[in-house]
Amino acid sequence: MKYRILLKGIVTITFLQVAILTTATTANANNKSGVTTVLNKKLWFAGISQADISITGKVIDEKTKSPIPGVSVKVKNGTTTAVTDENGLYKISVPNEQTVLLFSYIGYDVEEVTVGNLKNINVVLKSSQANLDEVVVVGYGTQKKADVTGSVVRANLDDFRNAPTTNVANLLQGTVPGLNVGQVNRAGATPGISIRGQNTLGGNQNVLIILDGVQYNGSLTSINPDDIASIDVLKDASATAVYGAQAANGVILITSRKGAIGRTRISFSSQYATQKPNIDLKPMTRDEYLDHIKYLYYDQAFLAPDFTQPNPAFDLVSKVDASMKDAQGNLLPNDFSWYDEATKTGAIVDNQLSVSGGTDKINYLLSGSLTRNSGFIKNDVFKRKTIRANIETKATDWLTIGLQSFGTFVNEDGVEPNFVDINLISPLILPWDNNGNLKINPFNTNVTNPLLNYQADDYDRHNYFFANVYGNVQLPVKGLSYKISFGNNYRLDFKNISNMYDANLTGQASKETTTYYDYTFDNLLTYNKVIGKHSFTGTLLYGAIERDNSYTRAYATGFSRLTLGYDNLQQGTNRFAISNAWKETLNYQMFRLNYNYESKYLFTGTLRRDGFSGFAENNKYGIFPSISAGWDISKESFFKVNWVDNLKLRVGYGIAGNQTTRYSSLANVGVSAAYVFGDGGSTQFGQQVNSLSNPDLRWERTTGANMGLEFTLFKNRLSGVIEYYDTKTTDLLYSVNIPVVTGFSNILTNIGQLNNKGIELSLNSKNINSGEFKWTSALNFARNVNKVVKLLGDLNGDGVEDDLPQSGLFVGQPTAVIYDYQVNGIWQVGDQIPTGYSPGTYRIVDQNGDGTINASDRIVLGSSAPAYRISLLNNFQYKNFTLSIFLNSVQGGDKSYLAGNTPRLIRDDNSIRNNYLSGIDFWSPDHPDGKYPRSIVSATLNPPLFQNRSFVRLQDVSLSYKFSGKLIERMKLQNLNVFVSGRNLATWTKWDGWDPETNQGLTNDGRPVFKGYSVGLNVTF
Amino acid sequence: MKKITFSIIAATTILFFSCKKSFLDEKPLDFLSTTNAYITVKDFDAAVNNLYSRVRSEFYNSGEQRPFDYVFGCDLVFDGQPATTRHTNMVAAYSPLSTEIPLIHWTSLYKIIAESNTIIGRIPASELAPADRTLMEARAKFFRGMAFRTLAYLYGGVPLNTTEVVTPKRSILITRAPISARRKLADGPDRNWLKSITK
Repeated sequence: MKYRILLKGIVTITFLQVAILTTATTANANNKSGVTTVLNKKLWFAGISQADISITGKVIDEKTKSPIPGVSVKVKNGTTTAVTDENGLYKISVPNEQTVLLFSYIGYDVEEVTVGNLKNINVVLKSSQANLDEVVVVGYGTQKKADVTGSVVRANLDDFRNAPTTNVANLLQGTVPGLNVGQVNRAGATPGISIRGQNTLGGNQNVLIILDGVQYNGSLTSINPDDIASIDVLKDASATAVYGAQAANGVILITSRKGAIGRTRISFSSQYATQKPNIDLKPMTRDEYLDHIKYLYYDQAFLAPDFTQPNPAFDLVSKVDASMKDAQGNLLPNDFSWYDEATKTGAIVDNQLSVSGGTDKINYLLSGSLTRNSGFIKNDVFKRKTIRANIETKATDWLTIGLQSFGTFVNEDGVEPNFVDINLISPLILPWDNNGNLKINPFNTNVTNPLLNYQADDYDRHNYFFANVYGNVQLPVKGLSYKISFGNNYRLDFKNISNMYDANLTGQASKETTTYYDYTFDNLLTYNKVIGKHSFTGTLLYGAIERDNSYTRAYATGFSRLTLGYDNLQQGTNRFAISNAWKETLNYQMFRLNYNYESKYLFTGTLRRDGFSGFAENNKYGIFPSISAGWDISKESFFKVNWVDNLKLRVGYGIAGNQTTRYSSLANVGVSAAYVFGDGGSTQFGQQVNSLSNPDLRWERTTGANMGLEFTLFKNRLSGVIEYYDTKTTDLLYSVNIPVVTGFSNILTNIGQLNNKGIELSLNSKNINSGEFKWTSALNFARNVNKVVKLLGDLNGDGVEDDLPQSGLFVGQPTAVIYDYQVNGIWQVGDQIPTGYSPGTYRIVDQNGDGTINASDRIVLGSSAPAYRISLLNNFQYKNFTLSIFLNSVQGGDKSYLAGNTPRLIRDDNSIRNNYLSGIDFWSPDHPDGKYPRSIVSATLNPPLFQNRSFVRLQDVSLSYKFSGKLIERMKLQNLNVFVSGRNLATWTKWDGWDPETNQGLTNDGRPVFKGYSVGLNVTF
Repeated sequence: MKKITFSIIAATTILFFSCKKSFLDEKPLDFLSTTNAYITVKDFDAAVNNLYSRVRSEFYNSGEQRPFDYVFGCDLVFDGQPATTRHTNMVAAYSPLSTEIPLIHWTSLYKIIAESNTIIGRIPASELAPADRTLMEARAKFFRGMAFRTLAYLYGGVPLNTTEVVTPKRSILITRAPISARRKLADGPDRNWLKSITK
């Protein structure tokens, strides 16, 4: 420590002039360089006092070079202020040479200058539209945001870093219009991600994830969120076409942090969060449960003919299942909550440590983290350890080599109780018998006690290893450089489990190992040439990928003792072994040309050729071109609207593909144990053709046009992007139903056409920016309209494209169309009810009025896809406090974002015994307004009730306090802040059930989404 | 100098590097395909074993309900646990739209027919000896005849499918074959085959 101060002292005193010059010309407002602050501190303690000095100067705008009037000039930590006049000139008195002056004005970054021995200090203020000079990652390279012609968005990660989540994808939920991230309800789970609309029917729906230039198809839980510097999302075909056949669903580029030149940063952060369900939904307790049995027998429990008067002669106890009665036939007195027994408050503990730094020759980042998320359901535990090393060195002036590597070790040991069964078991039954042992079959049926899973010995590990080695060579030709990169992924998954109660209580133990390895080998040649105001960049790529996967499972059943568990499978009487493996290869070339004229006229053209082993015999290679252009209107001399700072129009058109899955064009003959001939014969194996081959199978082709307008108005008070896109996907991979007479029920083939049109809007506003209080907002809006245009052609000759009703596909409707019966209330006691139906069943609308209810009475009821998504982020800063509030909403209007949510009961053996969720609004004769059907026998047709999933959620709230001043300086910290945050704090919705976003309604097999509160701190040394 | 040497090395490496033509060939590692699974006697034995298995499944052990359809599927039946998978109510249980009783038997029996057609269709291209060819063809035709007979028993007139389906045919017009054609399939040359080898 002392050494560092001494060194700093020598540096500052000897190089005083250099230091002042450097700080005066520093463009970045984040001017907390160690040199300056230590300089101030050291010289203040020296206690020099002098007479007031008068300082004058001029403040100009960096871009226009014109003077800025009204700029506030303040003495830092003092009270003296001045303001620049209409010529940008100011005059201010300062006490001594060590004073720091602050220059601030709305729309510009604050400048700090130390007076030193200068009397005339001129300052250049930089417009804080720093986002335009920002660089974004596009495929195979980076580009200045101002020069981008496709739809590329950098996600705002900063406002969500303090949220109580463990997964990278959670940081993206609702923050980028067009990027749709789902909800999770399990510890350590990765939510579903999609970009824009669904443009496939049966093909791959995954977004392509690129990590540091290497394709990454491991789980996103393996990436430590704190190691990530930025995430860029490529949305339209002209931006994604560089990734060819894997890009139709959009691309997410993740870039990991690297060391920054200058002072070493040692960063530590720690967070503790609690998790509870965000809805109070539980199974029924004793009284409600007994009531539900009574209502299943309403025809006996109540008096005819209207069944609203209780029948005094009704004996409820006789109808209750025998497992809930004692030897004398009385009801057991219990009211046990299995739900409370199997759950607890969840918690997340997360600790991160990183060391980074660098010089201009080498930069490095080393980090490690420990995360533990014990879920709400007992034994749903997720533990993760990560380590990372990113090193880059400029070995010679023409060679830069680097390494990005990480290892992640995930531990998900422990088997949670089967949550469906927890909700199913009656409150009259205790898990333990009189001796305190767990009952194996509490219902005396084959449902085993869900709590038995606690004693299962589970070893569930996932290990991820990633290493990307790259070298960047400046070739002797000026502007020509060659980059070679070799990225590897290696994964090891182990699942070993032994459970005495598996295999019908004879005991089962198993060991499963999966190994996966892939490499991505890319060769990139880049050429930059500037001719006057024209600048060209050409990129040529040649690469290959290979992926190998192997899986082995050995298991045994019939153990008399499971003491050694899965480590000694020989103790089982029956032993089994299975294995499988697959391999894929890809080979691709890409050429790209970027042209820009003064950053005013922009043009990009790309061409990619993709070959994939999984493509069918006759279609091994695909070509994917794209073209896009941009026009920075605000740079034109004729553009003189002074309230518009920046206006850029861009259009793009491209073709991207969606790969077929490996082996899907081949016929698959399945082999299995088939038959035993005669008594005492041995097992004979049989083979069966399970799928037909299709040598003409092609990848899906998505052709898209995108138009975007980027604007910055009112001196950067308001900025945003509005985009419109229109994509057409043809050759959709789809398992078309074929008549079963062929021996197959479907065949994978390319059909039809699917359109997606949409609009996205993103607005950022600086509402208030006065001195100590700042308020900014960000609004995102996205709407996607999906429509099936063509399917198989016109086979029935009626001149119109045919629908595929049994596959749920209709021309002119979205893929998510709901085609079903329309429910119109419930049949009441005493109604004129048609045959096949009874009181308590749904009344189905006879659409065609023919007097019968059958398949022809189905109509299009709406769609299960959302109508639009909207989110709003508000960020408030007051002195050292920062508060950010994020609201996320997915809306469906009346006809969209619908889903079937229909708890339904008929009187049968299971419904009398099972438990269901509390508070379900079932029909009964004395409650005729009930919403959900409950009847004595089943109806002929039992359609679902479609309900709206629209919701508004207070998804993230974060309040942080950043320490500054003497405390920080005395402890020699670069940064210290503490925060509290909350996630999913409130949800406003009409949806009945677990959660609208996870699409789980009033069913036993749902799980709650979590509401979490967390507290933590970040400190940087 | 170092720069030029390095670039020459790099350039030559790049020029010689490119993937082999066979880099993208797809060979499944853990499953068989029709191109390599109908060649030897053992392959055809396996295919026939599967036919036995499918018949056993359809009539005896596909579950606790469908095999009993042959017993319960009649006009007078009452099930104490009403459900459409258990013949109550009958209109719903036997409706052509039902994905339960009618569809499950239909699918199962036509699969037997399709597998038989595959065996018969692939015998010519196989490496079987003449005696084995006769044997395999006879076995396949027996199962095919049995399946058609059962289909007629359950559904009446049904489409006759006597060739292996290799290419995807999404729109097959389905016609019910008249009784004479079906009889011919069951009584005709197939029956004589059986007679000749079971003597």
